[in-house]
Formats: sequence, structure tokens, C-alpha cells
Amino acid sequence: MIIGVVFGALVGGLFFLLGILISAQGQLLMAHADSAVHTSPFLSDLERAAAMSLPYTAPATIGGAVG
Amino acid sequence: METLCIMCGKEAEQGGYTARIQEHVLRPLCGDCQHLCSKDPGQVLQAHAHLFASPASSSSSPTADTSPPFPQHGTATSRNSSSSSLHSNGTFVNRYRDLYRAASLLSGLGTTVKTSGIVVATVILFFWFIVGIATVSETSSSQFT
Repeated sequence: MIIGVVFGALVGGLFFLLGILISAQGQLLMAHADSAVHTSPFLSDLERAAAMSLPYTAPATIGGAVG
Repeated sequence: METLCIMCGKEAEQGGYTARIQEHVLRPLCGDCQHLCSKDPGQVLQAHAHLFASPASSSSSPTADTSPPFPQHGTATSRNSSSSSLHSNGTFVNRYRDLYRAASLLSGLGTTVKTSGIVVATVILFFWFIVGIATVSETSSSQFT
């Protein structure tokens, strides 16, 4: 029983740690891409939202020029 | 980056203009179409009815300051041609698409590894628990024989 607890905790903890590290790598990659998309002057907000897979609602301008 | 007008398909200068007819936001527009929208919105409604066909968030009130969600712009833009749709949705967006895929794949893999770690730990715990129970019962039964 004690062996089971120790061994299970060890193996589970190792797997969990490995999963955290792999997830962190993926999230870092995503953060890099988000940062690149956000700082690009060639993109509109619409395209930024599309690139980041985020929902976007355009700000409504009544009959006005945007750019 | 070239922006095409969703009404006439011509190049829209300065990133395009925006016009609002009823509760529909039209963007990007060239200068002529923006002028036409502000001058004669009824004609635009008749001539470009397909731009207003999609269900907007208009059920509350016609004067509410709401605008259509993002996918509506995509459908409005895609009416000109596939090339304009590709252009607006983008070469630039495609540039990082694989990076985003790889990132979400890694993130998902990490979550899977974490979950499988918890499952494996539980299985090991149960296995040794059963082994312990079996050993104890065997020992106790052998004491009485």
C-alpha cells in the first residue's frame, strides 16, 4: 500500500510535470505568435482577431471614415 | 496591403471606409461607395441586398449601437470573389497559421500527458492497494491454519 502510494505519486508526478512543461512550450509559442500578430502594423483589428482565433465585434462608426 | 471594397470590389484607400446602414456595418468600402451609403442608403439596400441578408444582432432596437459579429464581415467580403476573400482573411493570417497549430498541438499534448499521468498514478495506487489487501488477507488466513 505504501509502495503503491509512493510509486504512484512518483510516476504520476513525473508525468504531470512533463505535461506542464510541454503545455508551457505550447503556450509560449502561442504567446510569441500573439505578440507578433499584435505588434504588426500591417494588420487590422479584424485580421488580428482572426489570426488569434478570437471573437471580434467591429466598432460601429455611423457613416464615418475609418482610415 | 491592398483592401478591396465589399460593394464594388475596387481598391479601398487608407484601409477602407466604414458605413452603417440600419444596424449593419459595411467595411471596408471605397470612398465612392462610402459616399453613396451616406447619401442614398435606400439604393444601397436595394442594390446590395445580399450584404444585409445575414441575421444581425438587430432584434433589440434598430438604433442600438451594436454591430455585427466578426463572421458576418467574412461573409460580406467573400461575395466579390474567392481571391478577395483570400486576401482579406489573409496571407498574413496564413503566415502564422502553422505556428498557432503547432502551439495548440503542444498545449493539447501537455494536457494529455498530465491527464494520463494522473490516470497512471491512480492505476498504480489501485494495483498496489489490491496487492496489499491480498497480502494482508493471505497472512491473516495463514495464521489460523
